[in-house]
Amino acid sequence: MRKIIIATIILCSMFLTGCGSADVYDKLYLKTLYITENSDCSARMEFFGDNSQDITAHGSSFEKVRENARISGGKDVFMGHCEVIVLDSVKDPAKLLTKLLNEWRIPPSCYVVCGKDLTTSQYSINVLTIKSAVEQGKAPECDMVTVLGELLGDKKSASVAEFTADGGFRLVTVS
Amino acid sequence: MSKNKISFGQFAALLLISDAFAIICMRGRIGTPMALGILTAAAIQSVAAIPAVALCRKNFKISSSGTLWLKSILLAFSVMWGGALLINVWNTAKAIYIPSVFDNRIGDKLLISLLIAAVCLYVTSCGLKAIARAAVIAAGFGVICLIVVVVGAIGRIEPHYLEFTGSDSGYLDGIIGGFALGGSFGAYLMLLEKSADSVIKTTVFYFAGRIFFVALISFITISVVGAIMSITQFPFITAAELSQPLSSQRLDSIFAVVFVIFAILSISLQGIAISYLLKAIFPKFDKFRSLTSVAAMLCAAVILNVLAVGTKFYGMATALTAIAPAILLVARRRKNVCVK
Repeated sequence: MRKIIIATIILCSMFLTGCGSADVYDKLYLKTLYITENSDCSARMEFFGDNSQDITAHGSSFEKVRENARISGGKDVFMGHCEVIVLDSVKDPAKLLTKLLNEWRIPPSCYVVCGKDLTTSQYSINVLTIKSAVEQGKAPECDMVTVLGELLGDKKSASVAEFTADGGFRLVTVS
Repeated sequence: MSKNKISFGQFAALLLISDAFAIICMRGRIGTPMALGILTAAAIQSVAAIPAVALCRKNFKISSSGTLWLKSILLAFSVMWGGALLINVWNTAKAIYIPSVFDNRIGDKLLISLLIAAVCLYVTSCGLKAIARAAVIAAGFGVICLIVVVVGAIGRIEPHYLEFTGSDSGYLDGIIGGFALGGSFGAYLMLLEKSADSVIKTTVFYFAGRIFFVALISFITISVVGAIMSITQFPFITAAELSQPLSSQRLDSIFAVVFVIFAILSISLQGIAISYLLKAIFPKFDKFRSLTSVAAMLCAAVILNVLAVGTKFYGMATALTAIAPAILLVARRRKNVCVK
């Protein structure tokens, strides 16, 4: 009898594994994040998936932006696979990247680049372009940890690539 | 092997898992002076173990021969440390990113913490031999994870972060922090009499392993996380996240599983120590000791969390517990001298 009870409890605990609680289609998986911070904040989010559409959201803070993006998309936004973050006129890059790393759980290997008016355009940055530029030495190492480390270091600045809507590319210094 | 005795490998695996869990859950910045302080604390504890070894070699057993004050101190300390470990599980859950099962209808962290406590209750009731065998297997997985972290860290090590700078936490803070991380010393004192092998061999193996592990993980953490140490809440967890050897597959899920297993074994170890001490202090207390142990640790966790007890408290408590064997040894020798 005791073995039956223990076996029943163990079998019931399988319902607690969470395996059947979510479908991959229940979430939007962020691929590229374009961020602008002026008087308020705005962001354009690109997602994985062939049929996915970009979402542009605005708000007084980035928490509001994320919440509005969730409402616009109708699904929760999962940021753990984000490949590129594009800083488009951001006042405090170090503070923003710290929030993205610690609170939004953006992966440390995510690339950080700058963009000129990309939040409001339809231009899409390909992560392979960035990887190729880094490998060829045309762009510095620009993963999240490297850029954040330089911003938090003695120089308080980091050299990153900047992309423009017409496909242009150059090196800039953020601080 | 005698009944309810464990080998030196099982002994070391049990205690090293508990130490590793405490270190993984450590919060705040760590620099080279602090790391040296933590290592110094480990070395001091290894010296503090000498009186315990001497007592054990004279067939002194805390459970049967120990004075009431010693048993009470160890009991209070084990309850406190068990509560501290439960608080570590609570605080570190957000960094480990455990996904929701019930879509936030029930407090996820609360549910997971209660599940861990329930599993700890079961593991505690299984006894020392069972947990010791499980600890060896879990320690093996832990070693594999450590090797993966070391391999992944090779390309990311930046030695200049190991240099002393004016902004680092001090050496003395590191010593106090090291004592605060060494709460398994109470379980060491309690379980030394359960060692089937030579107590000297057991002690040397355990403390050597501990000092090596602390040195290695501190070196990797400081050199890999150094650039973003100022914004990192859990430096050792961040070091594991950054040290991913395979770019195509993240290993966070494996680390999360190992974290939970280490948490359960660490808390259960304290539960077993508390059970033994309850039996030693109250010989007629036979049933529901495991339940009492877990309940006591949960209460201690709530109280310590409400009081917002800090590192210095844990450090002082561990340091005071560490000198208990020395006081007892001196007292016994004085008694023997008086008798002569």
